[in-house]
Amino acid sequence: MKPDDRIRILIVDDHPIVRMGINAIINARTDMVVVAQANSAEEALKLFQQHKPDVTLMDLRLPGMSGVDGIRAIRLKTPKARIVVLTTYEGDEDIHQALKSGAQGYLIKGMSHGDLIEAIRRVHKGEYFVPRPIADVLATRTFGAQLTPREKDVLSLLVEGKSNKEIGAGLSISETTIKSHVSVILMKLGAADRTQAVVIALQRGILHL
Amino acid sequence: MNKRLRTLLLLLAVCGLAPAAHASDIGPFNYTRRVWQVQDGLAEDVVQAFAQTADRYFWIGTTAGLVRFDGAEFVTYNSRNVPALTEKSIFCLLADRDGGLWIGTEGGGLVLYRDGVFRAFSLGDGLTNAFVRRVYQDSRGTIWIGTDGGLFQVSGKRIVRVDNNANIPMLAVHAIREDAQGGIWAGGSRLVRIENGKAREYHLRGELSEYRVKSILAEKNGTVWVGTVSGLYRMPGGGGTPGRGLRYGDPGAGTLRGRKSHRADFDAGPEFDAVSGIHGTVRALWQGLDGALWIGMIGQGAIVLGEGRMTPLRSPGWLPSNTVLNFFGDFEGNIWIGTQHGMLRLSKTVVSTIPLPGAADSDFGTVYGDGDHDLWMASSRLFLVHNGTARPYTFAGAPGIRVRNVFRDRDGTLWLGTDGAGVFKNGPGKVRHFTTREGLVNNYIRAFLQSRDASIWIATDEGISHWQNGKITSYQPKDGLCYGNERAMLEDAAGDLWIGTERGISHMRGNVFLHDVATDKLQNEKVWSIHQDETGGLWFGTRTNGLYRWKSGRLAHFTTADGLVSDSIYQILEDGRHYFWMSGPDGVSRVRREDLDGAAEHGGKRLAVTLFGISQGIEMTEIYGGTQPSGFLASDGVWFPSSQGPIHISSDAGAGTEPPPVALDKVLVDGQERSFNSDLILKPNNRKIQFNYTAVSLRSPEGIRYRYKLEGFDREWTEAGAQRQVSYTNLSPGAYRFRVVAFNIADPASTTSTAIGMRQEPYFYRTPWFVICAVLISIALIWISHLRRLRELRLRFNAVLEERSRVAREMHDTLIQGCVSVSTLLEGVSSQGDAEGEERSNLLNVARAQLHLTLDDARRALWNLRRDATLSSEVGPLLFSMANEISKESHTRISCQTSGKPYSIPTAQARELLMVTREALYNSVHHSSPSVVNLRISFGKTRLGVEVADDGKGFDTEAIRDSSNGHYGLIGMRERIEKMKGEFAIESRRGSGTRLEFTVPCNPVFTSKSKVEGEVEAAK
Repeated sequence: MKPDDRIRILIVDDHPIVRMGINAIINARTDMVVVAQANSAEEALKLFQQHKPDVTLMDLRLPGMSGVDGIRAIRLKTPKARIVVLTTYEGDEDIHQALKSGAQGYLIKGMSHGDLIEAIRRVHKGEYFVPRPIADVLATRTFGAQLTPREKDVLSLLVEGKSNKEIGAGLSISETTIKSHVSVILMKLGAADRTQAVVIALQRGILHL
Repeated sequence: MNKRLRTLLLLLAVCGLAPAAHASDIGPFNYTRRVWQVQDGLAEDVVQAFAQTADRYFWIGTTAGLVRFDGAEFVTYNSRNVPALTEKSIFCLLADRDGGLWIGTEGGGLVLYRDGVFRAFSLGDGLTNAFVRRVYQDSRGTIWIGTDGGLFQVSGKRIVRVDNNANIPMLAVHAIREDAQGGIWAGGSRLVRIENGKAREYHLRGELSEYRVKSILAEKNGTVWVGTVSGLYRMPGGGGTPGRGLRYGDPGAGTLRGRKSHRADFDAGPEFDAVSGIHGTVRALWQGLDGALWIGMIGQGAIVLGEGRMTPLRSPGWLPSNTVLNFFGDFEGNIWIGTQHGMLRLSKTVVSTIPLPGAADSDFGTVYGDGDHDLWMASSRLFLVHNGTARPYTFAGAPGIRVRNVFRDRDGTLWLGTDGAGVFKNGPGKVRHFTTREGLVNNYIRAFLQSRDASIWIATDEGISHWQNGKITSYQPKDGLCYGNERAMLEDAAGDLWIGTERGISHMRGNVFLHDVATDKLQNEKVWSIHQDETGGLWFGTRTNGLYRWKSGRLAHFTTADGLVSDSIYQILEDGRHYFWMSGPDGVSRVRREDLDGAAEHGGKRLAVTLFGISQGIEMTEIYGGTQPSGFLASDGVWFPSSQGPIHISSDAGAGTEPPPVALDKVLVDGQERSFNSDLILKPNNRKIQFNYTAVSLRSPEGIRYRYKLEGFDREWTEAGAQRQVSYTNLSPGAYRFRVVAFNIADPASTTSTAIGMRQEPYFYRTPWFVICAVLISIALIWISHLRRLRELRLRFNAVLEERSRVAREMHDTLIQGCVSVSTLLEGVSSQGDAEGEERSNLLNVARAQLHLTLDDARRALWNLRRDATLSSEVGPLLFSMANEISKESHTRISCQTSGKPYSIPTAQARELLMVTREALYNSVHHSSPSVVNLRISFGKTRLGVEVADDGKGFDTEAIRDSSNGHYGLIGMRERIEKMKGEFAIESRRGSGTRLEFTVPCNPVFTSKSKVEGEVEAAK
């Protein structure tokens, strides 16, 4: 295979060691090559424009701009950009958001290098790559449970351990309204109490710490 | 104002009745007297003054202090209990119209008692003489004070002398009196009449050197009486100002005639005449409501002048002493006389006693009305009372025999029962004597009864005997009689005989003793009298257990609880108006039979009982009972036997039954006297409250009864009888009202009452506000604890959440990230295939280091040390000891140096520095093969710098950034340092070693004491 035919890959991850490992995995293949590495979404946008990689491996959790936002930004300029999410997150909301933003593959870090190579190849071909466990997570996702932006705001403050009153003050709405928001949140998340709601929110990737 | 008005009305009412009484009535039949002396509770025998205040209390001035009397109890006030009363001898008293009592003393000045407070007037108040002889209030309300040294008036709170000036001569005053024209007479050392502030002096003709005025009386008709040390003078009223006196200051005063007439000649004339027949000191002058003039004399008793008649009252007999000091008429119409040896009350009465000459106490006494004019009284001996006079009487046929009872049968034969000598039958011209020898059951006779068949029943101490045409049949307990000692007999309307005994009653029909409910129920009663009313009701009076009525097969019982005066009933008499007159040890009481019947049929209502008691002339007398006849119904009244003689009570007697006003006298709380002008407040620790109440009745205190109720405690009224105090203990907190009602037994329906509110305060822990506070506090505490719990929950929630978040974050940042990194590296190694190569070994090395680091981080994360900014570490020793280890591990010499003053930095920061420094040292010792590595730490003021320099191979720094192999560490180091906002620099050239330097902004925690200097040499 000619070097030019190789799948050109951009790695976006803030952890150099992870990049080093992925770099080693990819470079060991003859049909693909790492053309650039970025440690933030912002850098990724720059390097993407510079290198026009075939496939971008994108971490979701990045300093500054989030991975999802990075995907959106890339796809805004290059709608056909092929992106594989490579992350430690596996909450349904994360997956949902990532896929919704335009990623075609979703990989959990720690998967075998075979999966990674497979994902790169499949996505490069224009296919989706969503491994079984991820698909299962998405399947359990209940569609009625979508939180409104306001509810997410409330939930995010809830995660910080704030009281209704503090949340109300923080969002400039009345405590009673907060109460009703919280009860709706609990209902939507199927949580018995606030702690459980927070746990569920974190588990599902609705919120991140 | 009300009180005054009422008093005025009362006086007017009494005045209106006054003409009905006549001075000539004075005599044993119309007045009863009662004497009080020291032995009766009076403070002292010398009674100098009287007054009655509007609250009806009667005040007595004695030489041992002021005494208050309510008819029953004396309360003495003197210096021992009233500091204001410095002098014991109370010479004069005045009850003013505002309810105050003015007390004039002999040497102790003047004291005013008002609203429970004694206030003394002294020299400082203007009273320059302490011997107060007379206090007088004139019709204008001015209070005049006569003393041994001057005449005074009360002016506001001061006392002003009014004599010893151009208008009024200097006076020693003993008597003050306003006359009908409004002039004020003042007498003592001189006699003056003051009008419009000017005195006119009068001279009394006679022994001028002797006279000193002691008393003055001015009648409504203008007549003025003046009592002096040498007699009595009179000036008849002629209308207008008495003219014969001379204006003070006029020469030639002294024209009064002294008449040596011994007639009571009251010849009218506008000048003073001596009243003939009265010689000596006239100490007191008083006019009764009936117009009679009462003259009290020193050593000569009292003289009552009325309608030209002079009635002397003397000691012994009427007065306890012939030295009469004072007269007084109280609101109830009693006349009080103060003497040298006690005081005397005279009351008009319907009760009269016919004294028995030489009478002595006896075991028995009977009265028997014999015809319209004669009355037999048997006592220590037999008397015949005729025309109001008792004379001893001896029957010719029974000389020296003690007669117990007299009885005249329908044939006119007089029967005499004797004390141990059987029965004498005094037929016309013939006396027959029956004793036990003649068949009489006993010689001690108790009663006679003539039955409808004309036979005579004779009750004795041992049974009854029936005399029938000279034949005697006797009945004793062995014959069926209930008891031997007989007390009364009655033949009822059906002809049955009822016999009252010392133990039960017997009912006899023919010669058979019957038994019924009455005989059964009364089997233990001492039945002393039996009466049958015209409706057939049988009445039994008992010695100890009240009255029974036996009617229509029903037995009713009356006691003092129903209103009877006494449970001891000696005799029952029923008059033509169906009044029951019942005698007993406490006197005689009268009650309507209708009331008794009503009470028997319906119960409930208290009996209206009129008491003719001891205070009505029967004092010191004992009424007899138990031997018949122990009472006799005459056409004009009733007679009862007494130790003083037969007592007569007029049947038209109406007792004054106006109920006396009841008032609280004293309130004691735990023994301490309390004022009770307003509601009483009892402290929580107060245990006992005692109410003393009284209704002042000077005439018949014995007839006053009380009932009381503490509202809020008592459910019912308590009948207190004559008891005048009650106490309550341990009342629960709350509001109460003590009410007391007084009434006269003669008219229980008309009552007076008074009440006082009272509040027992609870202990603070039982007050409503406390309870409320406690409840509120409890609620608040519960609320607070609830809030605390909520907060705690929230805190715990936060803590859990925080910890959870922290753990999650740590896991992500360290463990997961580390594992992910290592895993990725290993995947990288794995994807290299089997070929040995630098890349592979490099990846493994990095993986190894990363794993090392991850474990380290994970361990620290577990204990939450990673981000703890509060902990501080001394970065110098930390780095040097690490360098030392690496030196040993790699057999490479590492030289350590510091510059600047060492300090500690936050542990988290130190940790990062440690990681970066280790990476740098590893890079040097593993990749550069140096002979020596220099580690230099510089403690700057704002920055902490670390330099790692070796003399090894060096490398091309250009290749670093984009290199996809090796040197990942440099990127990692740079990123770490940049995260700490530090600066990272690296210099290297192939063959000339590498110098790596980074500085971070430092945040020294404290200055370290330890200094690490010099080199660490690794042992080869």
